[in-house]
Amino acid sequence: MATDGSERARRANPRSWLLPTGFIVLLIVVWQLVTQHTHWVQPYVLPQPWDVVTRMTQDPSMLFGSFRVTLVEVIVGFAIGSLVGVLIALPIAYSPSVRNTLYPLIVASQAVPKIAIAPLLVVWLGLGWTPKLTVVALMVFFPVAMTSVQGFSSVDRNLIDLLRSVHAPPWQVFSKVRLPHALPYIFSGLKIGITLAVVGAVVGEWVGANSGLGYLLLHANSMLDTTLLYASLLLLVVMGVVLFALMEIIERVLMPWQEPEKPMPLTS
Amino acid sequence: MTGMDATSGQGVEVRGVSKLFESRAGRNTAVSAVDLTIEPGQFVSLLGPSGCGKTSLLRMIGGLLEPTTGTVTIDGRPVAEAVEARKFGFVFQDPTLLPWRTVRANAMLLLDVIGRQSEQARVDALLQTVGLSNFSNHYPAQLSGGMRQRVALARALALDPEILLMDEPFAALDAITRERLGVELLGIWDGARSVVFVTHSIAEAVLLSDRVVVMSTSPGRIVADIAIDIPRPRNGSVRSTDAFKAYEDRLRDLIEGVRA
Repeated sequence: MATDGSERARRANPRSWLLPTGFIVLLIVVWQLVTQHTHWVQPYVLPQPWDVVTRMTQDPSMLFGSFRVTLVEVIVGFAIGSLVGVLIALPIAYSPSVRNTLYPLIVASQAVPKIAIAPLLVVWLGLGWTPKLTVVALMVFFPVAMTSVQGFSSVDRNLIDLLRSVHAPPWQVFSKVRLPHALPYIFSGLKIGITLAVVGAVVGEWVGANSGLGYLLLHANSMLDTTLLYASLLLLVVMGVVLFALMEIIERVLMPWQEPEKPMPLTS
Repeated sequence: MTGMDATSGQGVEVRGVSKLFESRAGRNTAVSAVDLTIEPGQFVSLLGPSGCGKTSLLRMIGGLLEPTTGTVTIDGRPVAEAVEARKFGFVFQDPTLLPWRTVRANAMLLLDVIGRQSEQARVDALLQTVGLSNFSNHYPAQLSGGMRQRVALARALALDPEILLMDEPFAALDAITRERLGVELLGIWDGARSVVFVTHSIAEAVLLSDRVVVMSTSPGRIVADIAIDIPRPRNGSVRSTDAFKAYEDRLRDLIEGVRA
């Protein structure tokens, strides 16, 4: 169990999180000092970090209410998008003709800027939840579908032959070999997807919404209320980072055999 | 033409089998008009240089590849029936273990997927035979290359196959491990099943086999079929006997002739 021990030691290594945390704290301190003690930048360009924090405590119901609205959009849209992504990956991975038929369409769907079709979605789907969830799902499904296809179809050919040689039922091959093999790939797609989901929710809210952090962002911008704008931004960043970390935790729990620092395909 | 009446015997019967691969680069005859009979309980090596079609022949015997012409029968029945009856065990050059399964669970894989989990006692006995009982809860990443290949062997034997098909199973290992596993395989093979063993190592073929079938390249066909009359049980020491060396020389000459 030597491998397990060193792995755990590496994960628990305090330096692995001390360095990034320390760097972020340093940046914030510099930012605070510069904005507080110099007049290099105007407050409406760059407010003091402390003001942003106090703003959040002054008006918690508005900010955290908006946070909740956006969080629900992100999670529900992400769930739909990743489910569709994995499901669409199956026929693509199993059938070359389906692959050839769907691939150009999927790539084309991704080449369309979401911000450009968001108004159209509002025309089609109204002003409720649906257009926002659709934008989020559209953002999420692509990386998940791509990595899932790669995962389902990259099983060692000899292994598939081995299973063929004992006349293994296809469902067993899927559940015992293909799916667990694809999981790390799917998760790298999910991790890209969860951060894109936050972007998608904001885009969806920009086009037609009266709540949510994206809406608040736009509102604050039009009022030149930079402190509120930064407070909304901060909450969006926190949401994205926490959701991403959550995915990593789920990944490690589901796949303890997997190395934690796995290179992620499709990111650059 | 060979009719079905000619293939009513026991064991593996290969009759007039050819395999043609077509690709953009052109046609390639991997195997040409091969006839081969392997009796039950016989250990037969397919020996030849790379690209002589020995792997293709092995895969056609195991039903993984369809012959372009000719027939393969197992105990007088078509290969597909033997596959359904789970008569084959495969070992490839790469162990192809599942990283998320322990040694034991990997050895259980095939029993698992065909719903015969109840036979795990045999798997434990097999792990003992291949010397891995102390490692049954380890993961493949924690094992050496030789140990991984032993797991692959246990996995192939878990179904108690009538015919064990091995495609250069030790080729990816270092020379020392390779020799040791060869000698171990002598002890593990009980004569209760036939083995078709693809290799390009002359010493390995002589050590293990009852018969060595020498194949030539382009097109792949059989050029010699040599019986190895070294009495069993054998062990590693037979390699230093004159008889062993004589077989080695003879096979080397045959292969040189094939290459010339």
